[in-house]
Amino acid sequence: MAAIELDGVTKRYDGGLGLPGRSSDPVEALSDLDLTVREGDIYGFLGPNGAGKSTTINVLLDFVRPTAGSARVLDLDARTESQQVRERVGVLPEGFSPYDRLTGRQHLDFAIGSKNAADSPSEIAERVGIADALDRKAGGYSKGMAQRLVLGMALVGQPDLLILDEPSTGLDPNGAREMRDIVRAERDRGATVFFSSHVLGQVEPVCDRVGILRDGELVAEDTVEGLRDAAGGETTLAVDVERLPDDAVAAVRALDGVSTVRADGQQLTVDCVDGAKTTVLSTLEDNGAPVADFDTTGASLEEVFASYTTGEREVRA
Amino acid sequence: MSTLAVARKDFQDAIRSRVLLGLTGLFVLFVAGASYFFARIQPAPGGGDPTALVLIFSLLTPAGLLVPIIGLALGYKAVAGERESGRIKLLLSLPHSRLDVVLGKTLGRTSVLVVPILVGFAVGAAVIFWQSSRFTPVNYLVFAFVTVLLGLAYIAIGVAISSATTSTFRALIGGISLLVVLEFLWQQVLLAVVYLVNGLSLPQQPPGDWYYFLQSLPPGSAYSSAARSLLPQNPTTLAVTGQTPDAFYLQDWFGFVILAAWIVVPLALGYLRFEGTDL
Repeated sequence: MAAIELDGVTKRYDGGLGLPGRSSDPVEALSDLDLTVREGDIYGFLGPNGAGKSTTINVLLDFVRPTAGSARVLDLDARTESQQVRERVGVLPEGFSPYDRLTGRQHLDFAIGSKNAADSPSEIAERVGIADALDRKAGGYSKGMAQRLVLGMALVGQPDLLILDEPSTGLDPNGAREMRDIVRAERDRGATVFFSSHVLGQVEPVCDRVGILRDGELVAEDTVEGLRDAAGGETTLAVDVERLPDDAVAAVRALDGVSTVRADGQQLTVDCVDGAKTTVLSTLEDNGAPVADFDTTGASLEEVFASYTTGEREVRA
Repeated sequence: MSTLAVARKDFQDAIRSRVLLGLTGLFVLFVAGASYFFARIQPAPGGGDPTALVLIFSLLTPAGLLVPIIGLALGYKAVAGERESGRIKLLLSLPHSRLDVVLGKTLGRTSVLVVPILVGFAVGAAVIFWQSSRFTPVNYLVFAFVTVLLGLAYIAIGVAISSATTSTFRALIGGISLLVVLEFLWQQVLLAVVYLVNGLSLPQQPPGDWYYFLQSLPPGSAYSSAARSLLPQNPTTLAVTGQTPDAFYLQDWFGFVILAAWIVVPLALGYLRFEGTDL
């Protein structure tokens, strides 16, 4: 059984804001999105801001209704069985704000009461690192403390699935690390964790699987190792030449192991397998393009992410 | 269960609001002041002792204006405010349905409203007790109960408008407009409609029961009727000439039905709209 299953989910916003005379073009936030998250995985949902990550999460929680397609969470229909879904899911939403006039303890009590759970507010506060502030009003919390408080609310009742939308927002590096520790502990307890981020560094150290979303479409999905392998196999070679005849570019393009070639004046950027570097250089020399200087960079996972999400690289998976 | 959890949290939150403190103070001042005024300065006609009953009838009209304003003030932000601030995501991340949110908010805000009404009336009762020997707590409690119902109706209207829009500003404007039309301009609106329907002239023959029914529709009128149906005859009213209306819907007790409708219908409409939209 999958923890999350999206089947052809499309979400289009009219952009009209419901006001006459203010209509704008419809925006397609999600385009025919299929996504499966296996039970027990930590799934990192990556993508730049505006890619549709929050919309996907909003569909899972029935905050917004898809224009087409269907979503299932823990084998329940996200639309018609939403309340049962949310009984078993812990959520750290994006763009929330706490109740200013209620204390941290009252927030946790509210979550505990709402889920008929038996947790102790003090223990949860201890876990998320706000024990000192538990009896203070949340209106005085910093962004990071509010984030910790709501993460604590999400942990109430030992949920089968944690949905965390940009959980490291407002956290310092230490706080982000603590958050990752909690995510691992929850996975080890048996929960599935689905969390979104626009920062690869948050996802890379903890995730079993990573999906990359761009413009409402899933452009890559793999294990972290898989993505790293795909990245590690490629080298980017930047070559400065004295002259750059078209023949030389064509000859390089024709080589085995070369995937893309971009020519810009006297500079050539070549993506190729590591072993093809020397062949590329000698081919340039042989075709009337003397090499003045060159530089190689092995693509890191960071760059793979950047290239997927900015659209400079076609998907090869 | 879920509704109650939302209501409890909403009460905890709203009871700490300064607006509520201000409203409570205002209402207490109003009831205590009016009690003093009617008990001391303007005793009952005929020179008898002022009674709580005289006071209650004197308070009906001003309470009928102040309580709707308090009710709307409590209701208009209930859902739209949560959407504006993003707190709705906190609320709906937990296993509550949108119906729980609408009902829980209404219940929570009503509990909040009960506080100023009870405090106000308790202070008023103390003032009367101090000024007058004849104090009838039953009538007083009835009055407090009907007043809470009126407040509930306006909270329901406020929460309904709040559920149907995403902006507290629009909810506020909508609520105030409705209040003004229902409680201040209703007779004029009805007259204007009759005038238009009748071909730009007023009918010669007296209007039928339906017209009086329409007149009795605003929550404030229903409130007065409902209160009258439970209280003894107003001692200051002169003997009524003519007879009580035959139609059941024109009798005083029907005010309760109208008040109930003002609670249920707006909430149902507001909920349906809220249920059908994206957050």
